[in-house]
Amino acid sequence: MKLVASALLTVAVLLVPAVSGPFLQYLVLNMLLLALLALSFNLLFGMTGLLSFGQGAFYAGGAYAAALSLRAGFSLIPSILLGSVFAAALAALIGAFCVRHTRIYFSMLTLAFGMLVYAVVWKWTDVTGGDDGLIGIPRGAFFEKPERYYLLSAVLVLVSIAVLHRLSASPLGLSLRAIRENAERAEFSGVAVRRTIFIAFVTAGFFAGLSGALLAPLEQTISPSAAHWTKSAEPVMATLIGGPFLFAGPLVGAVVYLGLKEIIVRFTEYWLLVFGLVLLGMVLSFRGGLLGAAADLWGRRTRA
Amino acid sequence: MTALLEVRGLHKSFAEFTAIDGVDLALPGGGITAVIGPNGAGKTTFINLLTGKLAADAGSIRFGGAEITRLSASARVHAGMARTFQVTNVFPLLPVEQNVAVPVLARTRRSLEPRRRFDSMEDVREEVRGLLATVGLGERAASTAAVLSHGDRRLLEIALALASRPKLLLLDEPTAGMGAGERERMLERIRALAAQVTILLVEHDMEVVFGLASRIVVLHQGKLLADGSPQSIREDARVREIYLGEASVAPAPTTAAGAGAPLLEVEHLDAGYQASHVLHDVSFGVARGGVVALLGRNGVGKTTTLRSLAGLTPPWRGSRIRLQGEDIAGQPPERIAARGVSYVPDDRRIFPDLTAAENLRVPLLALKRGGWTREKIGALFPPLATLWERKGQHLSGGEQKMLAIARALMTAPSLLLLDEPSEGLSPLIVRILVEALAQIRKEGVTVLLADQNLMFARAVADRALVMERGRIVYAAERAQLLGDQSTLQRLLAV
Repeated sequence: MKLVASALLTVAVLLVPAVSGPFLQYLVLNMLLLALLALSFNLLFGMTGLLSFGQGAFYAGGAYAAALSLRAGFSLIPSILLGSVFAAALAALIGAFCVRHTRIYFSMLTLAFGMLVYAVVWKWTDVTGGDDGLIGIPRGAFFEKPERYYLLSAVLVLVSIAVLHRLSASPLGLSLRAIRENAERAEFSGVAVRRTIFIAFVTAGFFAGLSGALLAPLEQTISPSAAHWTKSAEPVMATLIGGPFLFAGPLVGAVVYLGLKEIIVRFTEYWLLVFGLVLLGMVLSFRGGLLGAAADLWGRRTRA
Repeated sequence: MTALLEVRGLHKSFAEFTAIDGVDLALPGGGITAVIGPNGAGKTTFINLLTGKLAADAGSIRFGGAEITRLSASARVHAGMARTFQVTNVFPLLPVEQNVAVPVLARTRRSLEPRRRFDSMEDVREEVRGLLATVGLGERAASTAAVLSHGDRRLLEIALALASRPKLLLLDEPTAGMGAGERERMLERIRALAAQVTILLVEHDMEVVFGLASRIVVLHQGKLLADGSPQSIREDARVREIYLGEASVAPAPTTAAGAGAPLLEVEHLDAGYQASHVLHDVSFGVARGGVVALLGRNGVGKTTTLRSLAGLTPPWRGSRIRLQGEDIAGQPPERIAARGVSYVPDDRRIFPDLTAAENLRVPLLALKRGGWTREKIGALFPPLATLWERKGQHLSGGEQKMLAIARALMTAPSLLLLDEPSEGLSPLIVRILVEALAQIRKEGVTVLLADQNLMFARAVADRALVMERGRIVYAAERAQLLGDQSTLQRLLAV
């Protein structure tokens, strides 16, 4: 069932350029990038039980590093990788402080570091362009065609999702869930809790950075809003909508979030107001998210 | 030959007091060693220092010849030291088999492996199956740990500890909260384990200690008081004085319950959690000024009965609970509390960051009523009288228990509900508690308590109700409680 669904989804994603115009490609690619960002966030949230408000920092780190590399004349794929690696390094630096804390202290620290990164991006005009951001980010002659860039990004995101999926079923994934359930017992089972969380933090930073590094060449411009804390809230919302306790929850949430936004924006400029009400309804009626509710329903059906 | 475990000059103080004050101990491999001592002697702190949950202020711990004083807890597990906890400590939402896979993967240094699926690792699956078979949980492999019974969860904990293949196994009150039958099975398991691994255990139950241990270490006020064979400990005058000598339970109260209208009448009480129907048609009354004990093994519905009365587990439709003639069934807990019902849960729920004195003041903030003063509480529970400024988290298990009961009394309740008041208490504290309950009833407070300890019930109650599978199956009046207990013993043993 799951295998068929993921195969169908993969084919559908890869067929988008063949059957549709630039608008849908752009929308689907944005959904994929948010899905990757939300999945990276959920590695910490749903799996490890740590709410990070700082994924925007790594997203922006990846975006700016890739943009600077491209503007310096490096080619596209190495620049994207460089962006992700830079984000992972940033996550290692910040994570060294954050993994000493749990619960609200962890969340507040990630939020504080996120705002710090935002301040640096905003003020360090010589490198980041400050308020104006960076414009005219080239992606090279070959990937100038939107379809080609779409396919490259889609493949990278799909591969990343596969990697994260495997990770969630691996011993590392089990260790992270054990930490979520009972960090003390995990430590006394021989799991080095801080080191394990650190690895999850850096991994999440890497994939958040990849999402950002794919955004910069897509938009061909990048502004400090990528580092703003409201950007960090997007993966939180996507995950809550889709459901944090199933692997595909953040993915479903990202699609629903951007899909709804796209629809509501056509009717009112106060889309956030309407969206807020929709989110409120969803969180109140299904706490396991849309996918969690669907799984419950399915479970009841098959058991009956 | 070097000892397996060698502790020298171990010291640990918390902000306000010294918990472990220069303890030396050498443990050769093999056998079962028990650490005993009255509540607050520092037993749990000692275990926590050995296993790395707490860092020592001074002194050294050598294990298998290597210095481990500064190692992290997980590193000590890798060195061969595993433990269980006083309060069951598993991974509640993971299936039983995944619970056990965590330490197996850690021991084989694969906790951080991100590429392979853990459920396709044949050696791990096989070892997990073997461990679950060893503790007798083979059939529960796919269940979520949270749905296991208390006894099964303790067995799962043992499987978790064994999965680390320890050289030294530390058991913190392995039989706490167990019924007689479960306890017997646990003792057999521990005896069988002693053939493979050195065991150090902390325990209050003297039957368990003397039934298992080949060596007994006595801690008192953070110092090592005595160390020797069970025989020599039994004969040690100092130990007798602080511990065993105080074990005799005070004589039973003679006052009969008030003859007036019952304070509490329960009729056709049904309750449960979602789909599980726990209480079936439970009916009983508690006379004003009486002390009634609900007895029964684990999982028979004692706690659910108390929780239903307190409003924490809503009774199902058709249940009637009358307090002083008024129906309180279905009212929210705060309303019931305001009517004078005070509930003391078995896990104490002390506010860890508040001092003992502040803990007592909390209920007064909500209920603008009170009668009991700190002085009165101090007279009731003498050990508390010197601890008012100590933080809740730094109190021992027994001190927390007394404080929890004291906190309930601050609201001057008319009905006091106590869940497992005698569980995990040293004989000295049990005696204080027996005297305190006699005093509490003199003040006119009616008490309904749930416990598994027949001797305790006998010492304090004038009526006992035995529960089995959510029903009251036997009611013993004072005379039966004091006289022939064969029926009661049959019902409470397995």
